[in-house]
Amino acid sequence: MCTAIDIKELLPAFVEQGLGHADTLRVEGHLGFCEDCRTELSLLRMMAEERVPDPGKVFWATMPDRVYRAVQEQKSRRKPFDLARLADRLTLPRWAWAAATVGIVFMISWFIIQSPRHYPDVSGPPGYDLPDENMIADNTGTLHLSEFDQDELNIVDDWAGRELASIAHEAEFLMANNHDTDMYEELAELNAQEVKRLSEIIIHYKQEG
Amino acid sequence: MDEDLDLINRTQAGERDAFDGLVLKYQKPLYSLIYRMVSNHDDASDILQKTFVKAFTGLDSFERRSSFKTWLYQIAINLAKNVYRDRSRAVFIPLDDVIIKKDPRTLDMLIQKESRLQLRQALTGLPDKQRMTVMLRVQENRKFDEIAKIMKCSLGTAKANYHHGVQKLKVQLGEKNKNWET
Repeated sequence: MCTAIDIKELLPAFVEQGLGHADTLRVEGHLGFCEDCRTELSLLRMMAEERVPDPGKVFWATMPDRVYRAVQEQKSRRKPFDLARLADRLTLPRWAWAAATVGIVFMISWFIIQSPRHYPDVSGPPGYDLPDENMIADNTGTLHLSEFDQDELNIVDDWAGRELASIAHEAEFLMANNHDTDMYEELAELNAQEVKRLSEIIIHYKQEG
Repeated sequence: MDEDLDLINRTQAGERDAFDGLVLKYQKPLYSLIYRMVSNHDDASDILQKTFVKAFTGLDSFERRSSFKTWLYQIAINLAKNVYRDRSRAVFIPLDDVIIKKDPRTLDMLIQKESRLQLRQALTGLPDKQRMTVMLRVQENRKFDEIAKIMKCSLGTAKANYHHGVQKLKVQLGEKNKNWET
């Protein structure tokens, strides 16, 4: 068996006379002494000479129209619901799944951040329970004193007086002794009610001289 | 190639002339290929039409990296394979059943007596890939790189399939038998 693969690969082109002059001479020279390749050439010629019968002009001329009608028919045919096709359409590349995951995580984070904040409950004066959330306007912990009746105001006043007495005394002591203290730190610890009450006390002191 | 892309774009845009142009351009070489596989006009005609229908209904999935012709050949071969397999099951001739043993003639004698039927039978006995590669190279005059694209394999594999196929044909048609005699 001949092992001249390069010649064997040229044989089909040699049969169809598609080789250049140099390659043709090379193949012819090889065929002169190689019986195996001559046999192969005979085989290839026999195969190449196998003719396909021509179906005729009418066949060729009508083919585009037949194909067109078949395509239109197939397109117009309603496709039933196909789970496999749906699954196939959902087959996305990895990067698309990664991007979708990042997007979902981002959206969840956004909703968590944007959700309404929960402010700490405002504890009422001892012995006085805040009736309901109507007592707390706009959810910020601010009490509307105008909604209190006189008895409630008295209770609140007593409580605030006790709660703020120590702070007021401390402030007076510090002021009296010219103590260099940052009052803002103390005031920062007060809640809204206490600040309001303190400002009322200050106004009250100012009015009374 | 560019002409094909232009026709494809126009076909997708709904131009009937472009559609017809693609069919007219490729119907003859495709028919020839399919006929060699199935060996009768009715099947070849049916598969040819199905090839075009499948191509045009799936034109959106055509990746324009390869040529349209290669893509059509791939579709045609896949469709023809099914018909070919059904038929070859019915008239299957195993490779080991050496015809020459019954009638030990040389290849030259076979050619002289135009025993092309034996050649077809020998082709039928080849594995699909080898048979297709030999047909594409010898009967369709396709180059190896083009065959590799059609068969979706490497250039080396295409050449190997060709050489093995031709070698088996030679054995089937008596070369081996002749060597034994000598």
